[in-house]
Amino acid sequence: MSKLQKSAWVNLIAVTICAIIGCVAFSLLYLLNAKGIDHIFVFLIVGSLTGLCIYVFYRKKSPEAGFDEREKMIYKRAFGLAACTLTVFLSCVCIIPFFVLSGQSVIKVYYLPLILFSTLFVAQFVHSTAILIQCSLEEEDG
Amino acid sequence: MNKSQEEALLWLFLMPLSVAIGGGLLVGLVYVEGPSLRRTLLFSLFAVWTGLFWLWVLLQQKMRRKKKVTFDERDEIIHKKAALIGYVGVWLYFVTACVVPWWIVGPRGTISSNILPIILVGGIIAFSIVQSLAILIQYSWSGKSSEKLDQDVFSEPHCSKG
Repeated sequence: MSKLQKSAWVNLIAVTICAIIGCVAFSLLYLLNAKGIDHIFVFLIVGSLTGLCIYVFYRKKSPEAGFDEREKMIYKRAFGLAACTLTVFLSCVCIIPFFVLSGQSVIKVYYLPLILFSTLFVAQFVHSTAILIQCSLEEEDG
Repeated sequence: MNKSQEEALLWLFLMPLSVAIGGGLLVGLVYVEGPSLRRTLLFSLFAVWTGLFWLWVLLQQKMRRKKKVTFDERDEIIHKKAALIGYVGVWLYFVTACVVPWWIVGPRGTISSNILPIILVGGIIAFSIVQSLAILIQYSWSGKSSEKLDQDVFSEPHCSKG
């Protein structure tokens, strides 16, 4: 298994775990009926610290650093595909309910974090799967 | 100001304005008159029109290739970085747009369904603004550094004599 395939598996597993933890955390907050500006600040602080930690970790031990030209090309193609999927998925998820329900109706607000998690998961899933499929296709070709 | 900077400046104003006007009009129409086949078709046309903006960039790139080389390695790196910064900016916007209403209204609250297309249109606007600004800022930085480099080279004539 190449470095690229390993990183794809790691990303796929990590994003799945993050999505599950996020859904559980939001369900817990739903049950607690957490509301207010204070929670936004807590969320922003936690989010910023997590983002900073991930950035520092990836900066030091980035798996993409040791890729060869072929792997970089595969990674690039997969990234493009993930970005396209993200755009199409987000458009469908936002537009279809809007047209089905009409503009004057209301939706439950927990639909928004659900959109966020599903988009995050779909984007990373497509990215990792595209890498793994491309690698296996190239291995078959020899 | 080179061609890329001019384009970035144009995109910075043109894209958000057109998307905001087009998207806002359609959201308003659906809100006032309700959804119908005509609205759906209009929205599809709007989506195609927005998609044509990307096609315009590709066409320009092809035309540029045919004419002469004005897009060097440095420009390519700047554009790549700007696209990546735009992507990160969209994610930050998207997280904020999804989580902040949740906190304000409360998890068991409800919100107008108009928020969905507004989030989408806002995402397109956020991407174009962040990307254009990133291009302009990177060019201004690289312009300053190259100017400084030129000044350093010209201010030390004895260095070239060895």
